[in-house]
Amino acid sequence: MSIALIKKNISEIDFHHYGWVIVAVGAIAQMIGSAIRMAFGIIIDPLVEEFSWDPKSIGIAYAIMSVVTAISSPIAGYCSTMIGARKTMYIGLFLFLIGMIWTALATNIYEFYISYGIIFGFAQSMFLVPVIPAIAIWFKKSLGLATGLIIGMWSLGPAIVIQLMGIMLNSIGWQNTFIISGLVGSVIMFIALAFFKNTPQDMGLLPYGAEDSDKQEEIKHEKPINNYYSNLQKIVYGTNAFWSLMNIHFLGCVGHAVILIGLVPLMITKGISYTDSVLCLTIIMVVSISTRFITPILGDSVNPKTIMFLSFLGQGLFVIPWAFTTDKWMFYLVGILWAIPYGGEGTLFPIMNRKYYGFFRMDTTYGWQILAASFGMALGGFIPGLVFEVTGGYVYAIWISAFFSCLGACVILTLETTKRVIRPSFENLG
Amino acid sequence: MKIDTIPSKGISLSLFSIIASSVILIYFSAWNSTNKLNENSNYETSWIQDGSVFLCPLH
Repeated sequence: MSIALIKKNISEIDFHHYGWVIVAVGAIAQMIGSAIRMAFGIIIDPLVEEFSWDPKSIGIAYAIMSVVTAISSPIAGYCSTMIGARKTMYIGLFLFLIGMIWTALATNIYEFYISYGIIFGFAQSMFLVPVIPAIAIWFKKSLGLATGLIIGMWSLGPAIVIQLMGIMLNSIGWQNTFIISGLVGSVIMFIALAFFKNTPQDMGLLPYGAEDSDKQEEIKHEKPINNYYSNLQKIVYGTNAFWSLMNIHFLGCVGHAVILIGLVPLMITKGISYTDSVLCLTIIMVVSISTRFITPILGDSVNPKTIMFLSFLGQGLFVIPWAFTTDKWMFYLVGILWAIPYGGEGTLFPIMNRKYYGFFRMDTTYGWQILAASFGMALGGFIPGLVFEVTGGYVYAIWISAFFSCLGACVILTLETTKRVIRPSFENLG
Repeated sequence: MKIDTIPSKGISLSLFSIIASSVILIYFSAWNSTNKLNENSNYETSWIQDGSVFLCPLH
């Protein structure tokens, strides 16, 4: 049923609309933005070797970056609403270039904290937050497919970029790798952003899927009036859905961050080799790419609340066999099963925003959701290490992951139906 | 969907999640601190470890 639904969805798409160019630019931005975070792992050893910094001190830079990204996400969302996604992403691009070059030239750990932790932290939020809300403005229909294509890049992008950076690192050293990657990434992004337009109105177009009858309404709201947006945002803050969606994003991210950080060490403590353990994580990443793409399409066409509930429940329940098994193949099998709900779990938030609040600028709302998600990732990343220090194993971490994901599923059940939309009276918002 | 003046359900559930996360962190941090103190009575605890032991009723 779901495959037929997806085929039907794709066959009805008009790919000549300019919105798909915006999707392509958004996908490139996601690739570069998410690669910043993922590239960290490959520079730890070179830094230890060159400066004799200990891995724990280097890890603090990653923690600073995560916190700065979290805190600056609502700011990035607000900037995107007020000055537009394009200018916000240009700021992100400028910070990305400065961060890449400064990180390569850093000579002491505090410089590294500023260049990687603070500058990259800001760059990442300025890159990542405005993309999805901008897509939501360009797509009145088929938002699921558009977001699915971009969110799929969260997994695929870093996988490609890290491979390339790994090869470069071996041949030209980590400093040159950072400088060259920074320059090449900036040039690609600079060219891509030249094709990026904040709204369809900037090109005299209607959003994808909008009817001519929608034109009057679009024209009425084309000027970004500050009062209008702040009043609209106040309405969003006053809904249970806003707080619950932030909460759900937080819980889901704790649930999967525990697994992503703790699975390999868990398998090793159960006597499975490092290579086989890493293979299990790779299988999860590969399988999750497909569900990252498919879930928003399904959610857009069917009922996002139900799909989100099933994803959270699956993410919570499928981890439990890992607490008992010691068999490698069982780890792989459960890994495949777990990757399906894990891939879909975080991809439905733009669809839920659309269902609850209608066709509106979701930049600030989405920024708050990313803040909650980032704190969830930070907490989830911290738990396995703490649990191991106390118990000498990771089994408790598995139960904690299951608890957080299932709690997220319970909170989803308290959400209102997605069949009715808040449609504020725009005339009263000036 | 209703627009609430104060979205009490959403805020209370969020607070519940924050409290649940804090309880888990405090419990494991306190457990970790008491383990280290049991192994070495001269172990110097940080303020976070002291705080977690103080707050956790089980350690």
